[in-house]
Amino acid sequence: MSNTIPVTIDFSGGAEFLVKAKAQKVQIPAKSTLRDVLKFVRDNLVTDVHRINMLLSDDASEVAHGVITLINDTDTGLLSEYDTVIEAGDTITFVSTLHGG
Amino acid sequence: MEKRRGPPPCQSKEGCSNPAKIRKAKDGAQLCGPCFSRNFEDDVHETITNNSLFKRGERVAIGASGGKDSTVLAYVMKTLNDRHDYGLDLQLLSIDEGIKGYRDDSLLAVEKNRVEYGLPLTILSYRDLYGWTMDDIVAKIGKKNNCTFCGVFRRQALDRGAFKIGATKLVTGHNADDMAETVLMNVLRGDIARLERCTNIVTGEEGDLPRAKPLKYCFERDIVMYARTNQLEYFYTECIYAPNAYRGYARKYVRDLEKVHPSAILDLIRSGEKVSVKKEVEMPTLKICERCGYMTSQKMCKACLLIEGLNTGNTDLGVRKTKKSKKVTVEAEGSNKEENGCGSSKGGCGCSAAADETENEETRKRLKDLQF
Amino acid sequence: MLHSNGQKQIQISAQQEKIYKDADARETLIVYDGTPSGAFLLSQIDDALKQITYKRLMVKPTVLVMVSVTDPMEIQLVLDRVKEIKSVFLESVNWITAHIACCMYTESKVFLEDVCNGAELIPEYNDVISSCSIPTYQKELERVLKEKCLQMIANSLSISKCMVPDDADDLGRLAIDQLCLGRGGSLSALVTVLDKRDDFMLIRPLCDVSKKEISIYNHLCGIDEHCIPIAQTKIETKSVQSLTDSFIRTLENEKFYSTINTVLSTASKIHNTNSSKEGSRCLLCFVETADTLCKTCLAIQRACTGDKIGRFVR
Repeated sequence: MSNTIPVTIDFSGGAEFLVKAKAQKVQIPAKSTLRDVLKFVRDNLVTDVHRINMLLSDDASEVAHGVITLINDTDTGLLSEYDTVIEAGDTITFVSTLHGG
Repeated sequence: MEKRRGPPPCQSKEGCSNPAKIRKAKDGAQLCGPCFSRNFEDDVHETITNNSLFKRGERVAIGASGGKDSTVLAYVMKTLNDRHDYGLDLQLLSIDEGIKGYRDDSLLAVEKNRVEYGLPLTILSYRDLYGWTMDDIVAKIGKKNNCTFCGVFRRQALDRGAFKIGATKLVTGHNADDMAETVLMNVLRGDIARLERCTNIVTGEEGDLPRAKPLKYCFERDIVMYARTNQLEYFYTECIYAPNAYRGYARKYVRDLEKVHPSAILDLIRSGEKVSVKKEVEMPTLKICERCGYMTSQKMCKACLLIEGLNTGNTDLGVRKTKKSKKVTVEAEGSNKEENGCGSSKGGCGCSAAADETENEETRKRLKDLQF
Repeated sequence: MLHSNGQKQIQISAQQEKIYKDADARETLIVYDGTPSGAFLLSQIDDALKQITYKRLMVKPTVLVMVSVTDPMEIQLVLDRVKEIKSVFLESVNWITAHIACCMYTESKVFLEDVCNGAELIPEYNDVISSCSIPTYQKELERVLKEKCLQMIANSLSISKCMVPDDADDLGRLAIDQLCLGRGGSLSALVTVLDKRDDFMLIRPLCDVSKKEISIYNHLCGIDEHCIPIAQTKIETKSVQSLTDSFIRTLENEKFYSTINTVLSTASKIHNTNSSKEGSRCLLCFVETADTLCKTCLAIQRACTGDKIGRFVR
């Protein structure tokens, strides 16, 4: 078994302006939790570092207010929140609710 | 490998067997996509029927900006109008503020709504109405008070547009988070007149075109999830002319509240709904603007005042507060607080972002006077 | 100059509002909680009583030392300090020390001097508070029970007026908290100088004085030493109240100083839209409501396990 798993990380609702591409296929370490994914996003995907606080908290321990996280379109609040274990092939979505009116 | 715990089943009353996908922000209900949509629509329907928002046969203008709120509003209004046979003649109404790279793109989103929902669309521009685009205005006055201009102009523009297409009612996409923020801002700014009416589900019934807010009790998060579930495309770029600092702090506070104590959002709205101004407090009376006939508490309405300022180069006109503070008599029950702390009860201004800078200056001066 | 200034403030509050008219009961409970504002209030009442001009404040005070600490050692410390403070201020009047847990008494009590009344009820009181699972409601419950306690003690002593040391900063924050709890219509009674209830009147004479003013005054007039600093070791769980506090701090740091003033001024100008039928009030928090409990208190009751609130509502 390899040490990494393939997942898709998707940004939506305005969050895509902070990263290179709206949906990205990436390899993350196996047995990562959502919490680990946040750090992965911060370290590898965010290109607009000045506005990173629109997506993640300062220490990347949680998402910023008004950002909804989904795994395969299910609200992570219905799974195990940040402790949810990521599986190969998952799509992790960050939806910003703050943009526009 | 250990299998991940799956989501709980959908809690919908209809006995749905799907796994839940969405946690409704408003009440924490765990629902699958279709049940969430239905639940959201039922909420709006309830708001509409409980408050008798519409009359059969009415032509209703939907204020459409291309953003998430108005896109969801248009979709839900159309869906409910068909489902419950409200018998409404729905039309989209957009305002072009003339902000390059922002509004011209979002108007494309509205155009898409027109095609997909089959609703007629009317676009009015600031340039046509006032002779100035927002870009022109910012070029003239800088970015400091531009929200004041934009807010005042848009409010009037929507009214005029709705009047032009023969609508008898205007609906806007204000959501629960907006309402909570507005209640808070009006208290923080001491605008009691607006505080009293800001939570009314229908406003402006006397003389002005009635405006209704069917999404008044819908949480922003739920609106976004609704748009996502129903694959509604909306436009999401912040206005390039960002709001001022004070409102920014208030907004952050409301978002923090929603996270820590979600019921605070609806409670803020409830607070606003229960507020009346005491009889003893002097309130501005509504008159007709000498220049354009729009309602106002002054001789001239705020929009005309602002245009006058732009055209004569006196750009402080209608933006800076006048020094003269109104004498307010509060008897027995009230406190003996000095009136200079109250912000002001000026009427007419549309954008609540106004005057923070000036207020700040005044405060500093006042504090200086106080020092012993 | 400064000295007479603070004093005037209270006199103005008291006289303008005609709280002490004619031969009305002048017996008044003066709450002292060990805070700088509490010490300031004591000093002001002390000064006001010493005045011999016709503007003398016509008050017959009883000092009520409100204790909220629960550790017996700390309570003893408070009692010792009170003895010292008493020798400086208002030495000729009655002093009573009582714990907030007195809110648990169901009927009138005789209050003793020189002990902490109600200390035996602390475990029971803690039970009630900890039965509430939502931090925001827990803090609000503490506030409501404190008022219940004041009313209970006042009733027992046949006193109908009670002065509390809440200052403008406290009340401004409270106003915003209450707005977020849905009691916006009742702000006026909750944060302005007077809260008249059936047989009880809460007076907030410091409602126009800021903490900053008080601390400068206390420093200059040597009142600092008459505070009882109580160590705040509790780690704050996030709540509406803690968010409001940091919100106001942020605004002040950004030099938006007028917020508190504006909020309090706004609060004084508004009242409940459909004022309920004659004087009907919430059994727990005493705001106007048509029901036995206001919506906020209902929510608090629901957040408490084992119906620990029921005893206050009967």
